[in-house]
This record gives sequence, structure tokens and C-alpha cells, in this order.
Amino acid sequence: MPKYHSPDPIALDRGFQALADATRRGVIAQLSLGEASIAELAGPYDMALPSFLQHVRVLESAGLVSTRKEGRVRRCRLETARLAELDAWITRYQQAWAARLDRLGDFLDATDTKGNPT
Amino acid sequence: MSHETIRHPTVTIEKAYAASPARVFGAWADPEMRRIWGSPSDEIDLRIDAADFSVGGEDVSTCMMGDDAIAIVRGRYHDIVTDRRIVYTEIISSMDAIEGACLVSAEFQSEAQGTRLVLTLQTAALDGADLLEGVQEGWESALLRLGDMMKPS
Repeated sequence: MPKYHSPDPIALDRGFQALADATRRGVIAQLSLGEASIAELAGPYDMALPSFLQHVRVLESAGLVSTRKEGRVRRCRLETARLAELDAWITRYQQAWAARLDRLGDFLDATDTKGNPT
Repeated sequence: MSHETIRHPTVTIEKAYAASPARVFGAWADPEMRRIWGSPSDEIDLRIDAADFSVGGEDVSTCMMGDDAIAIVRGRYHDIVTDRRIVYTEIISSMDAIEGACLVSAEFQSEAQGTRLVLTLQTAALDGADLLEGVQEGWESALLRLGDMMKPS
């Protein structure tokens, strides 16, 4: 299972800097409800789009948010959600191996040295 | 899509078998035997597309759910010591994107009762694939069974 490493101080600094701003905290709060496009995120703020994008970039470089292009729309998501997906994949992968080894045992019990049923 | 997130878990799974190391090793080496036990769940049949069990050899299998291919696993053997160990890499892809890579080390240790298999999985789980989104539903029911199978007997 994944181990916890001592936090990287530079990453921590970036994370805290990213969160030291009400707009960026608002973006995080909104993304915690699910993915959203830049336009949806920018909606509540009275701010020029380039300034808003700057905030998204700060969150992105802190590793808190990731963005991807879908056609002409840029969508954002919380990185923690990605990590959760990756961890779910890892769990499935490891469980698949554990199940495979169980099947190997069943197979060995049910066959002779040539692999024919006993 | 940005490919920024990678997880690198390592896990070791140990299992004891009543068969000799030669038999357990043989079940890994023989593609027909591996097809039978190598499926990750009851719902999935393995289709062996390539099987070259030699150092540098390639091994390709497709996970089939009924007539639908849902994942492809490409393996390459790096070290084979007969009846003792196998080290290989496998690349796991959904039908549209790579999902992960794994260095698999299988050690076949002789013990009085038979064989202790020590399997170490050093994985790099990659994002960028929409991880199994289309496949997840199928996996979830399979996983319930896996859970049952893994209960200590």
C-alpha cells in the first residue's frame, strides 16, 4: 500500500501560498463539488478573465488543481480527486493479482504436472 | 489532457502452494495454463495474443468481457531463472490509453509443504487515461467476487 512520505517543504510552501487568497480558496471549494470549466469557475467573480486564469495557474503549479482542454473548453479538477482515482486503480490492480494467485492455487490443485485435469 | 500525476506504490503478496516450485513455475511459463488462472475475475476471459516466454520475449494478452475487449496487457520478460524466479514488466492499457506500468517480480521459494510464491508489484499508475470509467461498472461486480475469494479460507 502507498506509504506516506514526509512532505516536500517547497510543495508545502506553494500549497500554502496558493491558498492564501480568497479567490483561489473559492475555486477549490467549487471544485470540491466536481469538475468545472474555467468559465463556470470565473462566473461568480467580478474579475477580468486573464486575472482569473492567473489564479488558476497558481493553483495548478501548486499541484492542487489540474486542467485539461476539452474541445474549446478548459476544464479544471481538484488534483486530490485524481489521486483518489489512481489509488482506486492501484487497488483494483493489486486485488486482481491477489485473485490471480488464488486461481493459480485452484488450478494447481485441480491439475496434474502436465496441466491436465486430475 | 495533462499527464501530471503518477503514483508509485510497491506491494508484496505472498502465497503458499502445495505444489513444487517446478509446477508453480510451469504454470507461469505455459501460456495455455496462464490463460486459465491468469484472468483477473470470473467475468473476464484472457485472450493470449502473443506468448514468448524467453528473456526479451513479449507477452500480450487481452482481457475480454464476452465479445468486448476491455484492456490490453503487454508484458516483456527480463529475467527468467527456471523454477526460481521471473522478472518482467507489464504495461496495462484500456482500449484508448495507457493506465499503468508494473515491474513484476515472482520468486518461487521451495519450502517443506511445497512452494512459497513471493510476488512484488512495483507499479506506476498514470493519469491521463479516464481511468476505467467505461469499464468500472463491469469491474465493480467482479471486485465483489474478488473480495469473497480473498477471504481467508
